[in-house]
Amino acid sequence: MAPITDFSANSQLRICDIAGSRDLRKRIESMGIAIGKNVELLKNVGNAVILKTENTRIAIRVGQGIQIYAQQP
Amino acid sequence: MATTDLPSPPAGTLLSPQKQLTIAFAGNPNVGKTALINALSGSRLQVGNWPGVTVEKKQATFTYQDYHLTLIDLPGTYSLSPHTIEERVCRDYLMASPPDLIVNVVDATNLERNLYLTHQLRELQLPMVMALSMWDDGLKKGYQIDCDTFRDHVQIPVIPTVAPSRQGIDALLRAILATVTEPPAPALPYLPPVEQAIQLANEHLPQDTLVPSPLRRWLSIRLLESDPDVLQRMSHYHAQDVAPWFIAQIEQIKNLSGEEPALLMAQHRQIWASQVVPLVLRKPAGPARDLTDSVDKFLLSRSFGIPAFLLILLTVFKLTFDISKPFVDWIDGFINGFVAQWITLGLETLHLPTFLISLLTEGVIGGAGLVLTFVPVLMFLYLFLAILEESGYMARAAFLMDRVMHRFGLNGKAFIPLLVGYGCNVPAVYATRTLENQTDRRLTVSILSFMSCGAKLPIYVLFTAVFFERSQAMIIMGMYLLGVMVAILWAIILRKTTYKEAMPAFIMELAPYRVPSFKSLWGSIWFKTRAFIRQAGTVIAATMIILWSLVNLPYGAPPEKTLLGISAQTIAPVFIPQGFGNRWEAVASIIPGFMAKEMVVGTLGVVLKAEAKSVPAKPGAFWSDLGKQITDLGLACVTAGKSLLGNILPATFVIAKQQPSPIFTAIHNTFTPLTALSYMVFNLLLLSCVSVIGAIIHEFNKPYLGYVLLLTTGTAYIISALVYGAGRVFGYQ
Repeated sequence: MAPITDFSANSQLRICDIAGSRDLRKRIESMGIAIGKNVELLKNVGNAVILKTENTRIAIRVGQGIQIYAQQP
Repeated sequence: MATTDLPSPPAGTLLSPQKQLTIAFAGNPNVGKTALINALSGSRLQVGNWPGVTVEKKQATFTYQDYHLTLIDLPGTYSLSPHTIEERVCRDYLMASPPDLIVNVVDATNLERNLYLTHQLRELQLPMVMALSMWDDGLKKGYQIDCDTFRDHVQIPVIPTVAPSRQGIDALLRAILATVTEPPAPALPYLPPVEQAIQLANEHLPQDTLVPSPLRRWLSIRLLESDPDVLQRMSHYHAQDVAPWFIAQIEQIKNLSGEEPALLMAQHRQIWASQVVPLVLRKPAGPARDLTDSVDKFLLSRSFGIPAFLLILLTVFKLTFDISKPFVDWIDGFINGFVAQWITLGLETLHLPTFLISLLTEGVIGGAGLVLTFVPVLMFLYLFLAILEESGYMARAAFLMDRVMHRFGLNGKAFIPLLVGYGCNVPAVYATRTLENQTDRRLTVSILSFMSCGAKLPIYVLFTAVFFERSQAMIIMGMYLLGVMVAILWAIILRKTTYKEAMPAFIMELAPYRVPSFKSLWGSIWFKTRAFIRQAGTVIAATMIILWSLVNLPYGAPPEKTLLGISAQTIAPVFIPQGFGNRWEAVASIIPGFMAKEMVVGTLGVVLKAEAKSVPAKPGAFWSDLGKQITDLGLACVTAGKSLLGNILPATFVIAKQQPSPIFTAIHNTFTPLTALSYMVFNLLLLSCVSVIGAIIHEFNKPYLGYVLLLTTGTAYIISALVYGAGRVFGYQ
């Protein structure tokens, strides 16, 4: 298990944990990135990542991305 | 607001008393709520592809059968927990005036994410209908959604819709009318201990509480989710023990389950959504790559992302300002050179006093003309911004620029308004709407006027032509660079002082690319332009009348005896540190410059007695004059068309060669190279004009305007004094 920012682009990941504040966790979950969900890491450009789940693409700055933990299923 | 009668009601029903129904449309951003409202009501409301573009509450009204329906377009939100402005707007609206029914608009291609909000909306215990939008996109992807099974699980009617082709629109309307009188579906229960706490809370809440009775369960949930605003309001309006009781419950749940109820509930909604979707949706097997992913591979790549972004922005900038410029010039000529002069002639034949004629033509008509000259540039800018937004590219641009911008405490999305500011600060103020966070918006507008707008360029061109002819381009470039440096410096300072709250999280949806529809583009342009003319236009026109009084009263007096001349002579000593305080003419040109930077050069011409005279209208030449105006409009269209194919550099940055004229000598005799430089710097950093003031009041409020005025004027004053002081140290005069 590692922060999503540690994985390379095109990785298929499963979200294991979301750390950070309550508001951040709720906001990320309401946008479809929840614990147990399978996501694709579309891009990792150093300062930000783009995750894809269903037909949704979410850009997350690295500061928040390091608080989302994932592993390869 | 638009009123239409679609579809036709049966004969005779229009005369019967109508029942008022308020229907709120709620859903995630970019799911097509506005398009559905348009399809239902026939109105044109703004549609954006930028998450959170519809921050304002908008509505459409129409009549159908016995009903007078008001459709409320709620801002796009992912939840009802108040993380963003849009979510707060939604929550407050629902608390203050619950609608008769909610239409939950759900993107058929994104069910699981959308159902999170559905669960929260069901907590409101109001009649509800689900509109499955973008049904055709789902079909194209090979999705099969079983609407009957879906309805059984969510316990509300589920209607597939395609707004542009009106598919499902009549069925949606029928479902709304059939459901609105039905009791709402029973609440979706949470797991213990949360559900027990909600039940207990319902009993504990006072009877006369903040919200109408159907919303009591939702209020309990909001309180157990530790919604700070609602907790505060409860403490304010009710017995002091309500908030502590909820805080105790929250602690108890935390002790029992190890998590706060807010997170338990969020997880519950997410799990519910993930359990429902597999039961109702069948997707084709295989990788879900689509066009958006392929385009993003190029547009967001490390090597092409930024160059492509800069090329797109340069194109937008060029198109906006170069296409609109001939029309701006034409409107200016038409109002001031045709309408004003013929009205002057007409008023002269009525033997009205000359001061009244001057006030009406130069003050009133000139003011209205100034407002209208902004219309072409605003319309083209809104058009291109709307294309960027609706196509889905704007979110990508923000993503690309955030890398650089957030180092200075700015959001990536601030790049667009700052760039637009080089053309004109007025549309730039409106372009900050793309920033969803109010702090980011205010910070961006605070530094906006340091982006030298197009109207300031003639000042640099004139002064550099007089004093720095050999290094004209370099000095002008230096002006622009100085503006950028001051903006960056202030951004860093303000982020650490006034706006020192932590930079908001950058979590943003990159919506799929879409081809914008003409209808929604036109709706967006017209809605915003009309708002500008009505609101900012009033301030601008009123100020133009004040300016006329300053320049012309006492009527017929020489420039130094007018109100402007007297005021300039009074305040001139204030500008001693800048080096031009001993010349009241220089100070006099700054005052109208506050109204519009275009007037600085013109006023210098007036006060230095070196202006060109306008040609009055000749009686009997009306039709030939009108014909010339029409020909000029045609020429403006041709010029606009040609500018598309012309120079790659936007015209705003092209320095036209100045021919020596009487004003050259006058400026040469009034300024020295150093005071000219200090004068240019002062104008560079000063707030652009009264139109920006109008826009800031329109978008923010007067205290914030005061803050921006203080910041920009203070900066302009200090930096220009430093420039003059430094020059003096090096021996210049």
